[in-house]
Amino acid sequence: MTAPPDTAAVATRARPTPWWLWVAPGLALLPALVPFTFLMGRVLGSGSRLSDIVLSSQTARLIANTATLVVLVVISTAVIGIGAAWLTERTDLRGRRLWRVVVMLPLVMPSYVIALALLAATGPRGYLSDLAGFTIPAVSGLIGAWLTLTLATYPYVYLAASASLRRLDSAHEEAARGLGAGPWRAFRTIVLPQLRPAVGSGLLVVALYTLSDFGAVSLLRFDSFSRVVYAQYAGRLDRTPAAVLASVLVVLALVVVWAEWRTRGRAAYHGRPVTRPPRLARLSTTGSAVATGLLTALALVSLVIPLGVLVAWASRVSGPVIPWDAMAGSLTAATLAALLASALALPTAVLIARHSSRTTRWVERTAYAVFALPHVTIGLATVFFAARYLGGFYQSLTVLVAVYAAVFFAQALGPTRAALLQVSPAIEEASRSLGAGPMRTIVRITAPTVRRGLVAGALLVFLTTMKELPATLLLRPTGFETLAIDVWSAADSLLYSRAAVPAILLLVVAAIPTYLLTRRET
Amino acid sequence: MSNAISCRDLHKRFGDEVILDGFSMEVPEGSIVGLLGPSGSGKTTALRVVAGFERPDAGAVEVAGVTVVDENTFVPPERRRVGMVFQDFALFPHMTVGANVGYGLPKGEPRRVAEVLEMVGLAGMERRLPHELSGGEQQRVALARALAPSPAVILLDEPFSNLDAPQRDRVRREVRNILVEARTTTVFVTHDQAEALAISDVLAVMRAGRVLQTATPNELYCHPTNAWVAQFLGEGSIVAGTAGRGTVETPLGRFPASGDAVGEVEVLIRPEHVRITADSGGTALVVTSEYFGHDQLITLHVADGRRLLARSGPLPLFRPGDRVRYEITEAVVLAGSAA
Repeated sequence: MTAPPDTAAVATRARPTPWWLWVAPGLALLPALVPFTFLMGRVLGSGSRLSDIVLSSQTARLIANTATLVVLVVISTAVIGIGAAWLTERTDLRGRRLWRVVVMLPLVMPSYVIALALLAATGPRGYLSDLAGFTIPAVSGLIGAWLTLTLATYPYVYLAASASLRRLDSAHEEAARGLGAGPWRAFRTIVLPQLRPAVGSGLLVVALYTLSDFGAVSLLRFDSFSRVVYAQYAGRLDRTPAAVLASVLVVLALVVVWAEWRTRGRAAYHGRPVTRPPRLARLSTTGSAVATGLLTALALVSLVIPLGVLVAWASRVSGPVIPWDAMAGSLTAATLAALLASALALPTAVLIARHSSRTTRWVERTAYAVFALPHVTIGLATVFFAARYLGGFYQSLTVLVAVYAAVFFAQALGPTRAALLQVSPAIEEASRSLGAGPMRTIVRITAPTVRRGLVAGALLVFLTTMKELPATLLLRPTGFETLAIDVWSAADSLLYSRAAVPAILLLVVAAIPTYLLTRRET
Repeated sequence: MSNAISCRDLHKRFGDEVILDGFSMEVPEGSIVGLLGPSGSGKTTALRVVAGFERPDAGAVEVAGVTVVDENTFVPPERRRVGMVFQDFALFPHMTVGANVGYGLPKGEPRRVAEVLEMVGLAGMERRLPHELSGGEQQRVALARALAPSPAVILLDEPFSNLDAPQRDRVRREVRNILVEARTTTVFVTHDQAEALAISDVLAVMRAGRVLQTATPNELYCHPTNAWVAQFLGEGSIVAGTAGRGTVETPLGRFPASGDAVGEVEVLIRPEHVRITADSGGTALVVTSEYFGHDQLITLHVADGRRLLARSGPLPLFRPGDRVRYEITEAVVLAGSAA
């Protein structure tokens, strides 16, 4: 008999928790929570105007628009994400290793860059119209937003589905085949249900992204929530409609989270460590050609055409106009946010993983809830709160970075916590019994052992901060430029060649952390 | 001789689960004490309370005469002078052997590091990384790391369970020698009876959160105070009987018995005290027999449905169905059972 591992079960329970561990999640999340609470209070206190605005026909139309877009994008990303994952993980498709990378690449593309490419390619002034010699109809409105957000978000579903397919024990599938099920029936009844938890969480990300997307819908002139909230704020002196609509948007986000939670099901699927590689489905010659064709089309639409169009427009710029200020602004803000979020994520991960209690589980949930909040809402809430209590102090880099770190805190926390859970708590206890206090133990033992998780979290925060648009737009100090702002404002004024240069720079800078992250995955 | 550790009436529960239920233990200075019990008996928790990783709900612990925990006191682990060797060794993976061993010393004191590494037979290994070492070497680094700051006591949690069977006996002997040489008070936790008997000076047998009996290994085996301890440490049959002046009267007959108790008692009969002889007219029937090479363990069916365990040499071989004669040469009266 081997030793009963009762140490591990005991280790996380009932230990004295140093009080200062609670400071980190507080510092991280309060910059989002305090203004948000203030906004909710203000909205609920607005009396009859609240019901007037919520029940207006304009709000009903907004909800219908946004819901339509979310449903369409969820369906199309599910089909593309799962289909591509199956082709690259479970078939003998030629070049599937390369396809795995190509299919993930659009992760680098912010929605507004794809939207910019779409606008710059179609319509009377479009680059593709020039090339074709006739006017390709402008792709905007619902169709444009649907296409853009599908291309921007399907990699989230792909990542979840392919990771899950890789862990899946092919013995289940083989058992089904042995019981007489054909390949399609085995896939539908055995594989698909087991993918559900992972794909469900991928689709949740897609739905929340679509719901709160600001850049693409505003450039493509589709009236979904974020666009109208911002327009109400920017265009009117009366701030109440913007505040109310921003709160309704939060309610929609809650509905999405609730829906995912309801459909998650109760079965527990345990991915066992797979010891032998899954048997790959044989594609026929025709099947192989069709698959390659579909993936090539996807790569053309999501990567080659947008990049080609951007480069073409950029080459029309007379003289070198590299926006150094915006570049510096983006790098500064993203670096500071990544450092702050990671620095606070380490003690928070220790709190959650090593001092687990009902309260710490709430801390973790709160971090994810803040991550799910639409950025337009957080930005507006901060503006209102600061205007009231901070005397306009909100237009400072400090506030901007604190808000970034708060909304992206969950991204820094997730990998750090996961890394910590893989480390035996005995390591920290050994340090304690050798005379090191809790603080020294975190710095000298915990941080180095979870550094991979910390770095991965920091890279994620850096990446998403680089791409962030609405909160930046609302909170940036006067004169503070970022690449995202440059792209958006030039594109919004239909200055495609001026937008193309920062867009390309943005993609280049975003590609670096993405490359580092995917290299770790494989 | 004073006590290096003294635990008094410790209680600890996790939720509804009672883990320690009046745990008391005295560990004399300089001794090697084994804490033996089945899984879930609370032995690891007891060790963690002494080390300061868990706070008991009630009770007190003294280490080297200093109260480290009671109702009003809680000394954090880093100030208890208690060294711990973990089940999975818990070496810091990002530090060299030297840095691991020097971690508990002010400024790493390279001379002391070299000294303890020498003591565990790993002289000159300072620059290696933990993952480059074998399991037995990692074990010794963990021990050296715990010994380096000269703690008042060393605690070992299932120290040999992570080693392969062939290594285990050798490492166990080495570790015992190191501990004896270092003259450190040691408490180690194990669920392996053979291991516990082999390396402890004193053994405390635990069940359901408390210590049932503390004695030398030999005393525990020969004179257990209750039936559970008797059967946990080795095989044996328990029968009811009436004790009096060096003998005991049982349904299996009258035979010599050790123990002071008189009257209605429980009696332990170890298999090595049952002598059997093949006899087609015998009253006992062999039910099962397990062959171990150096001996055989035989279950007998004796009068009125009772079973009796007997041990016999390698020959003659007994098989199920054989008829045998048996003789009980001695038995132990369980002191705890006397009315």
